[in-house]
Amino acid sequence: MNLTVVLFAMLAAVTAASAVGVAASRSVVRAAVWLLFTLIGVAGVYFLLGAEFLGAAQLIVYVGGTMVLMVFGVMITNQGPFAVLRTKPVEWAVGGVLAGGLFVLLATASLNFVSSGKTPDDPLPGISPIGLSFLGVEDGGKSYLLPFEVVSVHLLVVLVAAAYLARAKRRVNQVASGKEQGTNKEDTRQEQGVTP
Amino acid sequence: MTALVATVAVFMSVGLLFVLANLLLGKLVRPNRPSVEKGEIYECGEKPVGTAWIQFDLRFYVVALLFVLFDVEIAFFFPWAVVFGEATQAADAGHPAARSFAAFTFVEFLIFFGILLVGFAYLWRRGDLEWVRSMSNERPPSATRGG
Amino acid sequence: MTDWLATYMPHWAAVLVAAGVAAGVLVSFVGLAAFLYIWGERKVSGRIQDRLGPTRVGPLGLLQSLADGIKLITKEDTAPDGADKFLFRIAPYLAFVASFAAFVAIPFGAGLVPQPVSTGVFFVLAVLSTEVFGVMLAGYASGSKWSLFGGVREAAQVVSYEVPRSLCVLVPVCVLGTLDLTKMGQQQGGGFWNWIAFHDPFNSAAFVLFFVTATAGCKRAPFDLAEAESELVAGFHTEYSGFRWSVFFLAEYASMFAVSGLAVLMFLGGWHTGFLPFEPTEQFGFWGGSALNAAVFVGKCTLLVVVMMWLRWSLPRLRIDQVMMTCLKYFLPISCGLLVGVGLWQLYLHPLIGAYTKYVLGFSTLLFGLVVFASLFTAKGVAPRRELEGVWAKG
Repeated sequence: MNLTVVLFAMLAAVTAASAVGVAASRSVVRAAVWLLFTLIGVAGVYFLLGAEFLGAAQLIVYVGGTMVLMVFGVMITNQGPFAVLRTKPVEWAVGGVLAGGLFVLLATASLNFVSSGKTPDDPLPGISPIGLSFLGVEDGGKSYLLPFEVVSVHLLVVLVAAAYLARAKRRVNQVASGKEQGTNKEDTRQEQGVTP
Repeated sequence: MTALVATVAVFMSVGLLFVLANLLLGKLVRPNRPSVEKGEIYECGEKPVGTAWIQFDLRFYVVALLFVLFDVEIAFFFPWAVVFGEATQAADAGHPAARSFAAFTFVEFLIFFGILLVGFAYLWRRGDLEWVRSMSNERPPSATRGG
Repeated sequence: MTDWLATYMPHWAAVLVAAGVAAGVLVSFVGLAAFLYIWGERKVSGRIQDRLGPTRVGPLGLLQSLADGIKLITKEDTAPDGADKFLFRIAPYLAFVASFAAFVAIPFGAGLVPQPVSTGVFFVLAVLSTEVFGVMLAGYASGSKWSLFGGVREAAQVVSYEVPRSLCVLVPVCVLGTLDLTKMGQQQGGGFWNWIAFHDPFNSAAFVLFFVTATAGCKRAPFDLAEAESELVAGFHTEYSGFRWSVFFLAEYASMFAVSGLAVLMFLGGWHTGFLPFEPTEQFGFWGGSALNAAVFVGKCTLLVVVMMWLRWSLPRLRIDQVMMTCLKYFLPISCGLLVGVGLWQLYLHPLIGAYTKYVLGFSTLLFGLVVFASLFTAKGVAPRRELEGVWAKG
């Protein structure tokens, strides 16, 4: 038993236990907190494997960005005390089957894994090989220039789509509030969010 | 990178223990006399009216979403910036070829960045980034300012 | 240190002991720094508002924070009945642990770092970005309107200001060619004109912008929308009391120090004094040199923290839409421009005039600083030593 194995066991336990927490939790925000621990655990596994950049990117994009956005979404939309999820038995069944299938798939993949011969204590190549292969000049390795540029087009599409969704929501509001005075109350409430 | 994970784990445990120890120490000395009034939500001394569960304006959310997209984009910039910095430093140290390589990576970066900036400029131009103006436009004329 | 310990014990134990010692030292440091900064903040605010600040407890009121600490620990720890108790209790832990874990990769001197991380600055930004979760959960779990508003504002604000902050970090990285904070510091040795803030105009601007966005990221005034005591009672921590409440402030001061540390390491020469032409650890031995390095580093960070306090007590708070729009329409385009600008500078202007720019920028900043400093003592009517004029003037 060396330290790496112990640390991996700890990380795996935290990740798995919080993943169960996500599934078992009935409050949306509590599920999000468990998911936060899961993501941190996965980032820890990346660090342990020596993928420092990936681990930090996982933290900054998923934990500091996406998860904040999720909890944020719950905070600004929920209408009852501590939004609660209700799961039907059939959903449990479908989810369980899918999870079981994924587990079998991952287990097969990891059991057939061929070691690259690197150990966790090997020195790391650093970040510049990643940059070089993004820019398509890594000799010997693969060039990822096309995926790199495609990512930016993808992000552009998401950006415009997000703005479009916001606009669609606004149009619906406009129609609704134009139809009846009753929605003024809704407007007032909304405004509290902007300038409380 | 066992050492990194071990160090972070130790730091997190020490941080947790620090807060926990102080709270436990406090538990020994602090009073605990709950009452109905103390259990109430604070609302400036009045009885709370309604709940805290208010539907906010989604505009908050959309703006945050835009920024998360930029976050993803910036994560891709870090490897580029390192390569670019290394190349310009090599050029300063007397490898002229490195500067043209740096220029090449800079052009690639500009393409990547430019595509997203086009989207940003489009949103700006469409007025999706306007906060107050889009708010006043959508309100029916009869509705006065509340809140 | 790990290698030295490894001669006495197995390697895994050496790693853990070294980490434990570093964590112990830093947790005391964070506690002590918050202790002194809170006292400093009250003194600074007092002076700015023409008051004395704390004077009674200990010499110069230095022990005021201790008195406050005793009060906080002995104060009842309440949670509202309508709160989500579990989230309410863990929120302070999340906030503090996130900002404390950032210290893993911050070097206080050459080689004086708990764990060298090759992606250092990215790592620190990533870890600090998780601090917002504690604040959001505190706001959500309290079940109070004020807290919820505070939490929502914090989420929107922090997610937004992360972007220009990261872009500003990229500007010096384009010059330094590394993300490792120790290497960044080592490249800025020698005279102060070697500091990256004076390397070119874009980096000077990036330093200012980084500092502003980092202030916003730490939810400090004028960006303290999450707290906003004149609008939201106390924002996200309205329902907290006692020590659990003060943990948020420990986290805030820890992250203030951490972002100031980043600014110092990237732009202001790290642990270098700016006039010693050699690396102190090579001249005075590792521990002697490191003591000097750490003192210089902490001094520079404290200076930046004091500037944050100065800003807090000088500027009025922005409104939430102003905060968001300032970020979206000013900081984001400006930081994009700085990034493109530094690229062009490095490619085309640096080979031509790069050798002189640092002297021009460095010495003109020094001169400007000296003029401002001198005017503090020569300006008329600033110091209230003479009798005030106006209606109180005699005769």
